[in-house]
Amino acid sequence: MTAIRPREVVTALVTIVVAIGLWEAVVRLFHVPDFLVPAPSAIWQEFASRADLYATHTWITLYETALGFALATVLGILAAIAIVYSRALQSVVYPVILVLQIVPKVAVAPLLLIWVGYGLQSKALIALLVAFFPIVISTATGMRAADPELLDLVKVLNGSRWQEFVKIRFPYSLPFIFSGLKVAITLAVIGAIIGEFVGGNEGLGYLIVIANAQLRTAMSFSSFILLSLMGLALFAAIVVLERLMVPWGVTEAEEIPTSL
Amino acid sequence: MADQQRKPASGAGGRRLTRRELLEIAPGVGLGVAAAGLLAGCQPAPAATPSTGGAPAQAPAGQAPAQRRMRDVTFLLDVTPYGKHAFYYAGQDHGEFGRAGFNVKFASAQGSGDCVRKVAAKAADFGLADTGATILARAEGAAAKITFMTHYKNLMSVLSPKKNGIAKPADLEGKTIATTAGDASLVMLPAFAKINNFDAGKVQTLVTDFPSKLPAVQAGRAQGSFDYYTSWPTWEAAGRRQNEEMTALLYADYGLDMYNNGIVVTDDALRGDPSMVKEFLQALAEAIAWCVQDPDAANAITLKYNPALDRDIARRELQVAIDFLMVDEVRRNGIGTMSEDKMRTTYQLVITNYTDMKREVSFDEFWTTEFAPRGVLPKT
Repeated sequence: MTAIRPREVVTALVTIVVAIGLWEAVVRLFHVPDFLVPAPSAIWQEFASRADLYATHTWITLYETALGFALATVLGILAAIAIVYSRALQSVVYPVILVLQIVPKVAVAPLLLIWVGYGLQSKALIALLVAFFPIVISTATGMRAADPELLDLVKVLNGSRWQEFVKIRFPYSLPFIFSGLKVAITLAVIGAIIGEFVGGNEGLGYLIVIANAQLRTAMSFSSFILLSLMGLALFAAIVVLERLMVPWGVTEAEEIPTSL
Repeated sequence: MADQQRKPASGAGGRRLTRRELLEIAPGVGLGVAAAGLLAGCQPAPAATPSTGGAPAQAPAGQAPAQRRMRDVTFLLDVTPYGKHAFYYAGQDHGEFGRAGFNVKFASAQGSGDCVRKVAAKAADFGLADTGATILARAEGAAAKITFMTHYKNLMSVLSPKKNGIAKPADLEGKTIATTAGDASLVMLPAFAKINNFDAGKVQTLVTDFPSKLPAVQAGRAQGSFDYYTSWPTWEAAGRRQNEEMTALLYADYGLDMYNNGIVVTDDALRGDPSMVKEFLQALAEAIAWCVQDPDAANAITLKYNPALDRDIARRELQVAIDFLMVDEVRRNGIGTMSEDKMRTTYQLVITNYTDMKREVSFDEFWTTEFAPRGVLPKT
């Protein structure tokens, strides 16, 4: 497996430090008002003064995201199996999935909160609804991408549909599933935040709403940054899981640039 | 297949592009088309301020001088428009703004805090925002002042179905009340509780967005909602549809009276173009006076700008705004004027109850009486 090169890490870190330095300099030099764009130092000060508060609310958003994502993964893969293996189910399930995707969650979120409640469950539900579609599509695509000759071989050897699924279709679909999971995890974060924006008393989205109402832009920025870091960490977790579960898929992807 | 890509068939008229070459140049062509489209769409608009020419099309015929230099201004409403905003729309269509040389465009903020921030950031020339929110914004560095008052009697209230038993202030203990983040009625709850001898800490809140407050109460997620009394007609109508009686608990009826929303302007504009501000506020006061004289016609103007509103509810919301405007102070001094006594009361309440203010805001820095006209009243 190709390791991340130290030089790339150093370059990335230096770029981030330089960008933060420029931001601080511009805000100070041009006397940019704090309520418009706070300086990085002000953001850090705000965060450090209430680190416990931010930790609590970050954990809540993380829980909502992870729960919604996990459910979306299970239900998404099951829905994809149904679509691939049954024409009858495909004609029923596929349009429902499409409609669920097309309806804007921002518009539906207030209704969901009223029906389900203003707690964590409704936010997890919105995260599920937002993350569901890419997982279904990528899984179904992956399962249909199985090598037809291998599928024929299973038939020739009198293999059952279960064996065909476990030994051929599912392993073939894993790289595709992980592509879908990477997209879905970022969408799950967005879904949880949409729910928190609409209502409730917890989470980073709630902190952002409060911060906006009180013109505490440093608080908004602290919440954004934590949200981004959380999203990055979740994405990285999926990447690590992919390297463990699909080592052949990752290795092939990394070899392509060197073969041209 | 690779050979076919490298050796395109020759045809009459010269060499045809291969598929590979087409794919290579497509992004460049696409970017070029997009850039051309953007440039075409971004033609500089005719100079925004000042512009010459006739009065805006909506002004009644014969009212505005044809060749007057018109100034384009943006007026930022505090929230999504509803009935009370007739006060601000009226001047544009009835002609007060046009006669004073203003062409007013309207936009909406997402609450008073957002409104002050946007005015301070010069995204709008004038804004409608709560006095408390202006003081708070000032502490955060937004250099804007209240220059004209429109909501004189305190509109803060708790609206609820009567069956939930919120008839007097102490009934709030143990209840869950829906609120938006930073709702002025919620911020003032400790002061309200102190005056009325109950424990604000025993009131639970449910934070939600503005349109969801009433549905949250109807669904039983909360027993009542903090709101301005201008929302009462909507609640009453919703209650009638469900055969449910609604009730309102007004802070002003229980000892907490203070100024609410007024017109905010940046310090820079007050210093740089004071005559413009005075002329605009004079025109605004005259327009509001006309609204009080002829509220049905004023309501019709609101509906013209916001056709999706319910005419009857908007008219009743406007009536609430009128009732809370025409208090004794206004009948004595005129629309828009402010008194130091009441402003001091308002200021004390705000600085005591807005905790975590970044810095102390002095009494004189967030408001001014120099720009509002005096003596403008509806013709009786």
